[in-house]
Amino acid sequence: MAEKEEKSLREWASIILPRVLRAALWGFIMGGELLIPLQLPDFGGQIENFFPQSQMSFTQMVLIFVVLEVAIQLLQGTIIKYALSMARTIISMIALFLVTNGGVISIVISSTPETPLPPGQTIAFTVDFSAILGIFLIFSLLSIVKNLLQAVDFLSRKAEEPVTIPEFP
Amino acid sequence: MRQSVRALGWAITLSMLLTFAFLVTAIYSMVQTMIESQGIGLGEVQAEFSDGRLTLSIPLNINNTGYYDLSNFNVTLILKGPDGTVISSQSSILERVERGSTATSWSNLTIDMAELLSGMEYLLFNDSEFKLDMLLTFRYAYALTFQVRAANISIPWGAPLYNFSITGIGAPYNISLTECFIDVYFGFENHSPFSVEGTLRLKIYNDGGEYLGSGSQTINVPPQQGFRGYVTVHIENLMKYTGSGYIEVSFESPVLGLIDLGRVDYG
Repeated sequence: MAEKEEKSLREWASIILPRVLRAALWGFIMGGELLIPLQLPDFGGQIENFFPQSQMSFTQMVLIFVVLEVAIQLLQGTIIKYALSMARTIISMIALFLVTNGGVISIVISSTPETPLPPGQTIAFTVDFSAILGIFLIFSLLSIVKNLLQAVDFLSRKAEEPVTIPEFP
Repeated sequence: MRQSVRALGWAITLSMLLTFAFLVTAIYSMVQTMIESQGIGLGEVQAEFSDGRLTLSIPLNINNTGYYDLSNFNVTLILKGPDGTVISSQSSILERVERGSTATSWSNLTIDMAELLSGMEYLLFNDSEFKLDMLLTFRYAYALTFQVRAANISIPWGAPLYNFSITGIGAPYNISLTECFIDVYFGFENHSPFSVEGTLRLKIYNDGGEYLGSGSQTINVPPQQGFRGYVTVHIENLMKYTGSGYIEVSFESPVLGLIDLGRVDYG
């Protein structure tokens, strides 16, 4: 009996460990690597300054992506994976819209030692890439549809699998 | 179905990557053009004067060193006085600046000098500076809209009658029983970009405020030149001349119109 329990623990470990490793790897690829420079005071501050009008910081957005990616990888082979994928896409759409201020980003440059300007003079740059953002959002909607179709496919495959009813002793 | 969904997934991923690459290269290219290559910049402002109007020709030089075309390039210039009031504004449009090419957009700001100086008389005597607000709007790669607003760019103003003063009054001469002549000396510096041309008129009064006589002098002072001269005043009523009083000074010019320069005490 104890031998059987030990074996099942090994089985669990063989299932969970690769998943954790894969989740860690994908979490790192899908945004984790960005979190390291974002924590650096100089570089992180500069990146955050590009999104001054957003209600969500860039670090928060990356963190949400990493957490969802890790959860998706851990829950491979379940229907929850598809639900999380769809949730991630919806969150990314909202976050992208908020972080980019609807595709309009403004930067105001005042006089600094690096960019000396006459006293009182300011230069304001505004970039409007709302058309490109719109294209990204359309692709994201297609991605949701794709995840939905994958979820339907997954459920249909599960339904076709034979069900083994355990026999009573 | 599985294959179709997988194909859709790859198509979405690929399209997103291509769109993202386009966005990154467009922004990078634009920033390189503007900051590294100084591809968009103001040239030397040229001033031209005719018919009482000062025309400031402001060139905007565009050197598109980026990867994509610039289009719908709109330049709006707003010239403001030292106190912030809008003096003149102008917009100009360049349809397209292809990549690797250069273009210059000229904006002409016209200022009616008589109208300007009637509202801001201190500009006659004091050097100052105008403020220029510049708004650039353009599309880059036909997809991104950039807007650059540079506020409070200084444009120096040189006073046409800088440091105008009555420097002295000569002794009466050609004295008769009823009249005499007096030379009133004056000087100023023309710091403006145009010639100060016109007639300086003086009216002289005694300390009781009674009119004594007048004189005028035609002057023509080129830009950035000083001038010292005198006006001969004909005293028509010598009996009322007391040796002190005040002089009313005015200047009439086709450029600046009739300007009352005020009152100077003498004696």
